[in-house]
Amino acid sequence: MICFSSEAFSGGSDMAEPAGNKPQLPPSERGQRRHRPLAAARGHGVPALLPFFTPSFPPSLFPSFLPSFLHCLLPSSLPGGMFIPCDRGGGSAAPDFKGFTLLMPAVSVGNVGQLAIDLVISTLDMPKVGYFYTDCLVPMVGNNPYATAEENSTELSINAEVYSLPSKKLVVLQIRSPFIKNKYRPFCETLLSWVKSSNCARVVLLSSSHAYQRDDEQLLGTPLRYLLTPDLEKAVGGRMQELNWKEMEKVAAYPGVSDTDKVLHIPGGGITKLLFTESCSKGIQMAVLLKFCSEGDNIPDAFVLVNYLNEWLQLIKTESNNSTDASSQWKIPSSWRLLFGSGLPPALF
Amino acid sequence: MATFFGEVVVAPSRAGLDEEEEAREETPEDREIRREIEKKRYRRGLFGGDQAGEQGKYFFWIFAAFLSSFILDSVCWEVVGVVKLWNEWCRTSSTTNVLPTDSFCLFYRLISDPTVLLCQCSCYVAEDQQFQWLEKVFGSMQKKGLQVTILSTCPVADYKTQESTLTLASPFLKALKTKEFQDQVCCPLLEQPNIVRDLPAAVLSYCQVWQIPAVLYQCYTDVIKLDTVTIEAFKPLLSSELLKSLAKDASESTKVLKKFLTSSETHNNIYI
Repeated sequence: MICFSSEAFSGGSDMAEPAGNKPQLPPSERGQRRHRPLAAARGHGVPALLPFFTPSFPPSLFPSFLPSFLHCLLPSSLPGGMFIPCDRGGGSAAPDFKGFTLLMPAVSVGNVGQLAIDLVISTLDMPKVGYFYTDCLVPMVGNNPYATAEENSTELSINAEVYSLPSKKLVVLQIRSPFIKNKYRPFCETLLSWVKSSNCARVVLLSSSHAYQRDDEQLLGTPLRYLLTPDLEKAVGGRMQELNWKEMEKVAAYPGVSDTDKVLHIPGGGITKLLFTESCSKGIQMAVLLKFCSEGDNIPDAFVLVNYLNEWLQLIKTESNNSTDASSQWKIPSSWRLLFGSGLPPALF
Repeated sequence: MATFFGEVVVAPSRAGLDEEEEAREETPEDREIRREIEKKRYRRGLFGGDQAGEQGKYFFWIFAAFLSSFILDSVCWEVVGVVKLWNEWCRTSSTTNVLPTDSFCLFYRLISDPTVLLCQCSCYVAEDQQFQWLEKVFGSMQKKGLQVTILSTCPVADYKTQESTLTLASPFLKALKTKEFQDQVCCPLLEQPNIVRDLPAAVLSYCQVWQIPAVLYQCYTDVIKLDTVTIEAFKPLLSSELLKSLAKDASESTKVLKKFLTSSETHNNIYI
């Protein structure tokens, strides 16, 4: 056993590696060993903002500390994130999402997308199949947000989890915390490379945008909008026409100066625009469904958005097109309790 | 939103990504500055805990400085590693010459049983550093047989309940555990819609994802400064299987506790 005295580690010298008894690699080789698999995991030529941590122990020792399965998974988990199935140890292969529709929220104004996803998972009683383990989201943990009884209430939940329902060819990614600053881009890149590698057929992004920033055109009629990437447009564009849906309008890039240059503008939409434009250029089939709304009690917005989604995907059966009928069929998860904080102190009254 | 003076201020949105932030192209100079800051923040990661990997059976971790008085004792424990990091909360701006008073995450090992490792984290680990912190610390450990216990505290005002938090008898303890944790938990589990954030959440998430048995004990308290009442809230843990053998004599600990509290007092007063 190697014993290190406390001085060896608390001396404060830069990267105090335990010197002497182990052969040290030249810095260049050391860097490569650790970083090559990282770059490969991204699936892009984009260089990561590395190095983060230089290993403080000789890299030649690194593999020996990890069980074989962890060793192959761990290093690639660093940039952006990755999908990790729940029951990896059980010997079952990773779930197959070939041809599935990936439904996910954008962390956007009023958290409407996330609330709508909660309704879908809770109503369809979707089983959890894995985690989207990432360094781009603020960490959070809690017990099962969809608990229905005492028995299933103690399942731990983390910030990004994947649920799947093979009978409906549906896979859902729920995001439960905000992004860490400057991590939007790596998240979008990793997400889209996962979409490609998992063979998902298409992505449906539920989002929202600031109601107060609508232009005159957007103020008219329904507050719901959709966007389709060119690849999905070919496949389902006609269906949107049938449903009489409204496409998200582009706005003038230089209002008042020139009305010819038009750009997509989704204020308060978080990663929506980035994810959508990236999907367009990468040939990924993506639909964005969004609602104009304001911060506040956004539960009604979530119902409106999920009903909008249901008009298209028919996740739950509705007898009529009346949205109030459909709303009563969605199951509110138990974690929506106390959305506006604890009870009031009785001394107030 | 309008203020008293009539100007319009934009309310921070939960969307996080501001339109300006998104639209503004980063200049090479910006990029250079950001890269330098990132280097500064990440390069200080330092952990000499590889010896832990050799025979690790049970490790447990302490985030709250509280249990120092009950468990930590210089005679029985030796320092085996340290994680140093720099962020805007550190008192020193220098990343190469760290002051001895700077706080770090220290790793101690029980001399009588080297499979027990304890981490005392007295520094603030920023959100963007937590992931790297985990990779660093767990990356050098044997996962087989590993068991993690996390102790942490947070304000009782963060606790959501049907009644008012004013009427709750604080401090009180709540637990969260990963799927693999099979032992008895010594207090009630944290109810929905309550959640835990920050480093304790990061560690527990890591353990859940990589299937390591772990338990988090969160103490909800209404004091900012450490006090004996809050620390005593952790006492039920001393009866747990894992801690029973490690705990010191309770009578002696009160004395150590008092000393510990006076030394930490100066840190808690911003006017000194």
